[in-house]
Amino acid sequence: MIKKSTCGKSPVPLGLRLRLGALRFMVGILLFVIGSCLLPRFWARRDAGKWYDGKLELHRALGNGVAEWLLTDLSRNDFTTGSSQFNGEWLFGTYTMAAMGYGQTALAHPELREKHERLMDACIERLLSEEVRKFDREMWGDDPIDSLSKDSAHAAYLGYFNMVLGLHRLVDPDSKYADLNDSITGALRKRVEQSDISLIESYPSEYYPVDNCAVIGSIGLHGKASGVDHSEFLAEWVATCRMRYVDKESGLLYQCVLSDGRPVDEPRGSGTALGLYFLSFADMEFSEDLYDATSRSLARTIFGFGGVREYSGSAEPLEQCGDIDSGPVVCGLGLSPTGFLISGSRIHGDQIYYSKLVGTAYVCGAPFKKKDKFNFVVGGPLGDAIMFAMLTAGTGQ
Amino acid sequence: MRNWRKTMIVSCIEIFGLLFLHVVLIHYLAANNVMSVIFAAGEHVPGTTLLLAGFFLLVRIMVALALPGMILARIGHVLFDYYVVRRKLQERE
Repeated sequence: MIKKSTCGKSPVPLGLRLRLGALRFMVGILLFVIGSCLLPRFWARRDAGKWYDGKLELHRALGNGVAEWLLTDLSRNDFTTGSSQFNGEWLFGTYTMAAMGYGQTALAHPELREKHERLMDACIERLLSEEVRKFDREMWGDDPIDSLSKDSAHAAYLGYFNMVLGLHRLVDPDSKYADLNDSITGALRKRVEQSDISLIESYPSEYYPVDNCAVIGSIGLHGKASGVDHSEFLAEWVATCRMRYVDKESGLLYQCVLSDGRPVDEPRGSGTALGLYFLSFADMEFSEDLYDATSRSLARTIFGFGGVREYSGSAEPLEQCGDIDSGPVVCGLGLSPTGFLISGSRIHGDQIYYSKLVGTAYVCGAPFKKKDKFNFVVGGPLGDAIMFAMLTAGTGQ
Repeated sequence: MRNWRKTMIVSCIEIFGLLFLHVVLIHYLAANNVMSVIFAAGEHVPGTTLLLAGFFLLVRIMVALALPGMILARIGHVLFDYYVVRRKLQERE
């Protein structure tokens, strides 16, 4: 059968038309696959080298983006977890992570020191406000700062807050919060030493190793900033943690344990990735071991993009949907562990995986730069603050 | 044989339309803090907000992951239509 060609000059056999059509289709598919598999990774990683090298303009821009959130005078109502308790935690987390980012960038860039120290001060004042302390007070029935001489542990509030105070003291050796840093460190160390399981409670009867990593990291930071020797205490705690709270098979931290120290949850990516960031301020070797374990057991690369699994494989499918710790989990890859491991890869010099994770953050986070301000559109206040702390991690250790 | 000019015009409309939609959405969402709802989505989040967040994610994935391949494939089609088919037909003429 012969049809007329579209140019109308000579007939083209159907067989030839079909062959050319099939060839055209195959060329399209091949180029689509090549383009989609190879090009996005280069585009998404365009700033990864600059972030890894700690370029001033990026640190300044993200600092400005986070500062914009702080100027809006955030409250619990700005978060939409559906739980007033979690909203309070996210408000607290926003100021904590923002302050860590400002502290790290102040140490990395003398040009930013004055401005970022001022912003760090603003974060600390907000962290000390009644509104931000409320989430912890509601859980414990007493205030975390007013009850330093009492028995309630308050690891959730005090561990993270004391990290910020220790970093502030590294930035400014004459920190006005030095006395508070001393008092909280003393109280936390005493509570850990008195604990039969070397862990203290985040909330009544709730023990999370990751929150205790913040407690221990803050004590390590206090030692660096004040000159007080905590080395023996830290070495003893790390030995206990390695023995009791690290899964022998995967090398990851257990997420939650009972009051007798027995694990009640799987070893997980979000807790381990965040924990190793905090521990890098207290014991670099332990932090590196946790990083290696996370890389080995959970880190994946898909078409050049990095993604970190929340579970190492033994969890029930229902658990693999994710929770408030992991954030959304898609195909086993968790949002929180992926974001948190950015810090570990920079601290431990894994530039290749850092680039892959930054690529993922750029595709999923939708970075938006306007004038001298940088935000992740998907992040919101907490997401921006976490990315600020994670992308700039690696100073202060 | 397809008209290579038509293929190019349709491709440009698709590509620039998608990019325009992405730019409009990213500006709007950056100004209104809509996207962070996806971190803790649930019954408490209004359906329209979730829908907008989901739509943006779809557009974002299209632009960030599929668009480079799409552009390359369309360029391949245009070149194919222009050179290969045209040459074949010219040979036959």
